[in-house]
Amino acid sequence: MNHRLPERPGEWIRRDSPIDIRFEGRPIRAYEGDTVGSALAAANVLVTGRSFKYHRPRGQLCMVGACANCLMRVDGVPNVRACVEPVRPGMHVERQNAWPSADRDVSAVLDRLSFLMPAGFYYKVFQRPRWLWPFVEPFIRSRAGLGKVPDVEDHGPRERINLHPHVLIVGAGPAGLAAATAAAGSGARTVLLEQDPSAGGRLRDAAHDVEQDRMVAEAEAAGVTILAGTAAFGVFEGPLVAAASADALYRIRARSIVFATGSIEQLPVFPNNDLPGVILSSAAKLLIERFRVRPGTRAVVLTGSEEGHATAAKIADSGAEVTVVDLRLDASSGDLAVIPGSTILSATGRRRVRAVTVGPPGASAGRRLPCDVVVVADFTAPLTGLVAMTGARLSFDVAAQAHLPAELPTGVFVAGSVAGARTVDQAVAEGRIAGLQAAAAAGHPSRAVADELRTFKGGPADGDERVLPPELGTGSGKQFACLCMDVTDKELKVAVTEGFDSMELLKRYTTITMGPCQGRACMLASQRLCARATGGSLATTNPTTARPPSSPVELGTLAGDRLTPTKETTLHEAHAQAGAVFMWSGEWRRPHHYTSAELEAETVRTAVGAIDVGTLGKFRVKGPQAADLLERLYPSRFRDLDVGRVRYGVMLNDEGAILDDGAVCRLDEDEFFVTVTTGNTAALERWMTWWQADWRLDCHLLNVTGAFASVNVAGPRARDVLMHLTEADVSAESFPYMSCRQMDLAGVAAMVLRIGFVGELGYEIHFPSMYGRFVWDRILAAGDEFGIRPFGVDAQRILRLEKQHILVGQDTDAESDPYEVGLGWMVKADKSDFLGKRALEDLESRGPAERLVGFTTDPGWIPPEGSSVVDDGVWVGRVTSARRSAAAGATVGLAWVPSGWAVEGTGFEIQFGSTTAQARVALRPSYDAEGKRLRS
Amino acid sequence: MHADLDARTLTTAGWEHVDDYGDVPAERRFLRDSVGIADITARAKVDLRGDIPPTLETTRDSLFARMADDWALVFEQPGAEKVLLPKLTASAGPGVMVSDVTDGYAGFALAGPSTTEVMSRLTPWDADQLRPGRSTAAQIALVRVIVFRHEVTPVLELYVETPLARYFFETLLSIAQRVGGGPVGWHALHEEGWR
Repeated sequence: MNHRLPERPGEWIRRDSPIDIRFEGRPIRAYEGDTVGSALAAANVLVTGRSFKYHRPRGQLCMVGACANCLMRVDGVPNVRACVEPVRPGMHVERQNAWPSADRDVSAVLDRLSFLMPAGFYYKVFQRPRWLWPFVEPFIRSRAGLGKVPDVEDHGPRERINLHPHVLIVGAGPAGLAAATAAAGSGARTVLLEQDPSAGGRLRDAAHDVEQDRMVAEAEAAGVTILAGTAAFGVFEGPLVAAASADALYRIRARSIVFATGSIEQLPVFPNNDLPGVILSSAAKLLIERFRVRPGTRAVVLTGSEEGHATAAKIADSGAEVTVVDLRLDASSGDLAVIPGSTILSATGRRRVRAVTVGPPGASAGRRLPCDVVVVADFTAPLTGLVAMTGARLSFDVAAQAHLPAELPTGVFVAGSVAGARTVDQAVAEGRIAGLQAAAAAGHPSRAVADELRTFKGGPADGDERVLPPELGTGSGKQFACLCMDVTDKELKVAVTEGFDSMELLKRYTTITMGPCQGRACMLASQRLCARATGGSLATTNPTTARPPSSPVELGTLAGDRLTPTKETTLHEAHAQAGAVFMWSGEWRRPHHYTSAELEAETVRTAVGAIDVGTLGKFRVKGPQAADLLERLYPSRFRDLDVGRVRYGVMLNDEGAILDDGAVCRLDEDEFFVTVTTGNTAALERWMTWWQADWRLDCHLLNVTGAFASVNVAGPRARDVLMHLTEADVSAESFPYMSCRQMDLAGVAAMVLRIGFVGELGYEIHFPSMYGRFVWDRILAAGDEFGIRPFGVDAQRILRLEKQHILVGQDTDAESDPYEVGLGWMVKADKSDFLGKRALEDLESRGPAERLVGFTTDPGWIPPEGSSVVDDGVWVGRVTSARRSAAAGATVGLAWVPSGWAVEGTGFEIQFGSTTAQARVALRPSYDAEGKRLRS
Repeated sequence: MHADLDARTLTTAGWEHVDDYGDVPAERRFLRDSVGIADITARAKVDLRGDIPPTLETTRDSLFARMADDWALVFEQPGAEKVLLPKLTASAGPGVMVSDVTDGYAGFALAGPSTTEVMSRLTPWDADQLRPGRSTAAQIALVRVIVFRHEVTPVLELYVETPLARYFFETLLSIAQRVGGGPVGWHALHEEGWR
């Protein structure tokens, strides 16, 4: 049966553009402009899912995306608000939280077993016997939550957009539009957020079409940036307003903010108030006027205002038989049947509403009215959640019968029905004033503010009190205060008797207001029931603290598109073309290997290899007191370092723990070139700059990491390669170990350090990074006749382990000191002062409890990093690095062991999982222990 | 990167830089109607640290970016560092460390009405607050960037550590393309008044 009404001006659907969708396998005809919700309503699909806890049938309630009644699975994506989701050709819509179907759900039995699930039942049940809990918990977890995690791959782009308007307006109803136009008219850069696909708010009633178009056009003409379909969901310190659209997360920092968030209709509490067919007037009006769908054939409209009568007339106009139940005693309404001074006492029906019982508020019995739709009209509550997040204080307003913003932080303004305005004219006037004030607060004052304030008529007069239905109905059946979380009046009452006697406690105990609507649709009912149960009043029962997100946000939107800053040396392309397999080293991409680590290591040992070490941190230190700075930063001596010489240095923190190591090269009396490890550059720049500023030494420090490409050429033929590239004298006599020279290399000015990390004759060449590729190619070409190969990080690890050279961070941790790792010889305790000196004095006197030592073990197994060193099955240390060494004919590595074991040849056991191996302490490197090759 | 975008290059003072990407009119449209991204890494860059005097002897086209009381950068045409370095060293005095950092930074110019849109997607910092002729450091696309706003032309120059060049260019370009912009060469940039 199709409930679509004949075509009429003002409808949003395009009948000449049909769209077919699938609903649980069956085809449904919709039109462009339809939402999933309106298409289902037109197809007479009333049950849109099952409720969270009791699995009761639920139908669409608000049609404006405010409640959780129509959360459905659309194209595999769970919890889509069907009522505001536009239809797309071929989309597949399914109901959630039911099996085998929402029409006949097995779990509906829980509704009858609700006595087993009282308020806070998860605190009370399954406590004994204790052995039962491990079985019960997975079951409860499997039943909890709504929807299934999507099995389709997300996403399209999820941008993060930062905006800095002068004025931000939240809500594009009449007040928001007026505020935005006024603010922009004052010269303020203005952004207007609207959660619905188009601006208008209350103006979206067909009666306001002309006005809506005019106001939107005025705002656009004034230069307002309107972000429709973008819901503000949180206000954070700053204030920073967070908002989300379908494909973007907005972070908005405005100088001033106007909250025109409006109000939202509330569902009165009466037995079976959750039955499908019980809808709010917003839904009825949208269905009839915009989607041209008849909500029912026999309607009962519950109201307490003339606005409700207008809604009733529209329903009647759709062809339905209408009875108006009006709380006011003096109500009457033209041609429609009106029952004055009455309310709905209860509703009945199984999968949809079939009848209501009406009578005076509080009556124990009343008159039964058969119906297929119940429309609740114009019982609204202001949407104060977002403004409350700014720190605004709310206070009870008698006329509005609600808590309204009373004290606002500087730069925050409110307008429209969130501030208590009832009519469109009043909202517009308030909006205009708020917009002008916000612009003035943002530095764009206007004389119009005073004029507007002079003519402003203000809100409703005292005594013009909003009429609300009774807190509760009469009769049998559950009376729901919170539809999202399935919380009934009875549960609230029990919770209060158990001592949870405030809104904040009730929220935590019963989960009321904690569902997807975040209290928007249930806060008023919850407050009133809390007041009733505690003997208080609505005035003294404050709403719960508002917290983000005030409306649902997809996790993908919060995560956003991922940016991964990636550093590459200027040789990267050359490595890629050479077939390098890359690895991450902090933010850097480095060649792990080109061919095989073993082959590359062998080449370095027997011929010559080249490795890109451009990732090393590099600093220029210059000034009359540059040496003094290094003397204080390092435990080693640098004042006596000759120009042209290099010294290895270990940097310590105040506690004497190793921060980093590297080479310090003296370029001139007042200038040094310092290298640090790849991953530590930024931290060490901060560290050194901080101390330099603290000590106020006359020198300067500059991070030149990116300015230099660096290549290490190592191996017995390294000098031959260099001689092919430069005319400088690179003989062992002229250019000895631990010295540095400036020279032209392949025509490029370079600084060359004769140092070695891999235990061979080696040259670390630093040169302007933009020549990176050029110099690299020249090095490889020059080395071709000597069998040169590029080698990667993995080969370097083999080579350095054969030499027992440590890697800070890999072999050390945050507490390792120089004595423990065998670098105590670097500490010059007779220096006047240096970072860590005091701590080292203590450490030295105590002696290390554990030591980092070299070890060898069977070449058949390489213990993974972190393998345990065990003593009689007890953990006493760990392996930090290990590689198989062809040169040593064994697996070599470094491990932390008790200091008493740091004796050559001591045997110990390494364990990883079920694998164990015997190892022996090797205090001397397995390769060239005397370092002759380095110095050759 | 540029070769993949069909760049045509020119060599200036030893630097190979992008003259255009094959369609100068289209690149000028990016600059006028949306946003254009140009690689200006070839520009000379000199870093000054210390007690920087209020006036320094520089060159005709140099742009002076004061980052802090004791830190400034000078930008110039490609190759000008050879002239700038001795001039600045002499005029800055012994209390200032003058360093050629031309190779230390990759530079990118953003220009066009959608520049703000691009920046809004990459940084919480409000780029519009930076006045012409001023410079600052800001976190953009999760990395530290030196930003300089031209005084004469509506161009924002962004400088990052050289190792971040590819990441930063690709990130800027992907966002620019999302808002209707694209890569531009020096030719189009010069046509629009940038120097």
